[in-house]
Amino acid sequence: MLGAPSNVFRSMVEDLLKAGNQRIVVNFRGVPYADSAGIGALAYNFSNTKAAGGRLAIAEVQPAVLDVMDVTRLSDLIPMFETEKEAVKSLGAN
Amino acid sequence: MARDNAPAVTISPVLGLVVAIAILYFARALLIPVAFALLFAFLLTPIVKRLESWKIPRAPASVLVLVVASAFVCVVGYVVTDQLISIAGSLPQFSGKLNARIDALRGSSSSLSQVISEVEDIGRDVTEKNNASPATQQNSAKPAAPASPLRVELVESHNVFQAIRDYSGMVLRPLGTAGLIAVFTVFMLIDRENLRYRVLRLMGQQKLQATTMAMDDAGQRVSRYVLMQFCVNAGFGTVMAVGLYFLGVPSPLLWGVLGLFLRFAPYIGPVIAGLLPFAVTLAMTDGWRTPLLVVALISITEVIIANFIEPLLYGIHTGLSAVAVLVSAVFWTVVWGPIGLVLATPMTVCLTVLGRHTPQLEFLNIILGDEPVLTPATIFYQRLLALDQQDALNVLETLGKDKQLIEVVDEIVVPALAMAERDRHTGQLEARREDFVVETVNEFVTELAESESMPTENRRLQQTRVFCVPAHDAADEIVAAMCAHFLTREGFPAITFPVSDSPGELIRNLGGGPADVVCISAVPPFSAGNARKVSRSIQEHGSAPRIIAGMWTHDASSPAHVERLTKALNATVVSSLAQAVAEVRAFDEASEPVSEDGASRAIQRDRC
Repeated sequence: MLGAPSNVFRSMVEDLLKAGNQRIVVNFRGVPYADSAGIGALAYNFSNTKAAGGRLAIAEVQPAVLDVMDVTRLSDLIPMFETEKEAVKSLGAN
Repeated sequence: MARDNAPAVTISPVLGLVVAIAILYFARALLIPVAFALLFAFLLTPIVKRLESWKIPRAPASVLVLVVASAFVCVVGYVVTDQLISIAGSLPQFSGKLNARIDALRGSSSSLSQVISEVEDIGRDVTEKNNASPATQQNSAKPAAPASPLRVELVESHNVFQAIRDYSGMVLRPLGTAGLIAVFTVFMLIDRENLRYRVLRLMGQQKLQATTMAMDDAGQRVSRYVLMQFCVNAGFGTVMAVGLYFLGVPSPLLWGVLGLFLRFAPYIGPVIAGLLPFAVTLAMTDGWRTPLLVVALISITEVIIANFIEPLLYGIHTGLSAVAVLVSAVFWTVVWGPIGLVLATPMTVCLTVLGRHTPQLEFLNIILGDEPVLTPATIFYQRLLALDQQDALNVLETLGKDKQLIEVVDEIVVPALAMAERDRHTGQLEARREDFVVETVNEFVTELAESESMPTENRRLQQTRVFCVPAHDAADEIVAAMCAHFLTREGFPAITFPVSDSPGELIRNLGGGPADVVCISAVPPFSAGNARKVSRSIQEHGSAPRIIAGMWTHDASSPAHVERLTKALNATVVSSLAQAVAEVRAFDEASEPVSEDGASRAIQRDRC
């Protein structure tokens, strides 16, 4: 995921942060695979949210994406949930 | 000293070319023997060197080699001449048969002959009328015209001395030229170092390396060419001799040897080599079958050699394009006559090689050489500029056929991106073309990643995590993604970040530490400045990973420059993706092995 798709993903999260949304859930249901750039875009958004004092979680992560997150050790940092509902609940509870 | 400081005289290229051609034409009586001698010197130098290695002094070795070579040529010449005289001597026996064949030919084309004869008669009448004086024309109307003036021609009476002078002129001139060639050859063989030093001095001492390379290269390539042509001609002569033997033509060996030598003259040589046995067969046999088979044999052999074998061999071994061989044959024939035909290719090879190593004559190598004029990266970039995505990808596929994927990226894709960046910075790249270049390469990288993605279960995981960080813009980001792709293939967990204002903070937020590697991706121009900003940002945030600075397509030939960059960036400097992967691998091997806990932690999935 390079170029335009990456930029769209980044600007969406940045817009949310600018609008004052500190808790963000990204649903990965329609994402069967992520390359290094896709994972990089996610890591960038996670870091930005953290720097802005917010929290970012992901939900419904597909097995191939999960593999990549595991080997890059991002799964240790970014909270992951099986459903979007659980993710929202988790962020809301905190 | 004074000579070195003399002002340089510059002339326009066109004028220089005209002067050069004029010198070649008007000084041909001297230059042709010199050219032949140069050619023979190139050929015989390896043999002389071999004799010198056997402790034979150079002068006797050179003379010995020339004497042996001349003796060989004389023996072959004697055999051929003897056979030819023998054949010529027996021709009168068959003159009746030959005349009968000619009559038969005339008879079979009687109608055509009649037409030609009538046309000739008409032409003759018109010419006579035009040439006739007005007075003659007036008189022609009168019944009794006076006889036309009698043409008188003065004929020199020949005596014995004049005959001797004529014949000696015929014999001595070629002998004199041959002697001149032999003398030049011997001196070139004996004094070759001195000649080389003189050429070096002529071309300037500052170009010592280039000139030495040019002379060595020219020697090797001309020797290779002459050897190849000799082999091809020997093949032609062998096929001729064997074929003529089976066709029952007398003296097949003679025709084979003649074919071998005559074929050194391109285009005309094989024709003459074929006409001679054809004429003899015509005179010595009854039917038409054998003469026609002789023509067919020689024509087919020549067509195969000229169209398939020669372009292949000469294209590879002389470095000349097929068109250059043809044009050079025409040029040298016009300038030097039939001798130029024989010398055409070797002379052009010498010019091409000079052009390759001498900047002022580079145009010769571009025009005459067979090397691609554009680099693969330029061809790829040119296709991208033409907004032809399919063609660009086809070019990539074709040019990278025998290469590893990482080599294709290093040698074609990244340099093409660097060209696009350079054009963008100088304002020469329109926005739509810039977008197209980025998008096409982007698609290439994405497809690459998808087609080669490998399940992690099948991959040997390395412990070193790599963050690929673009230094400044989209081009840097694309190459960073390519770098991550090749690292992932090697089993390294790699992440490509988008362009960020604070890459140091990003890495720190992701828990980057001394066990990780950051690979900065910087495409020229301004790659050093951009890479320095990223390196500083990482160091300021104190996460302390190992930093590799990918200064893509950077000329790493100057160790001093690389050292300066290494100090300025506080990083290991690499100039290709292959080097970057190798550096990460070396770092990983030098690192402490990961603990069992760490390894298992890396693949656990049940944290939700």
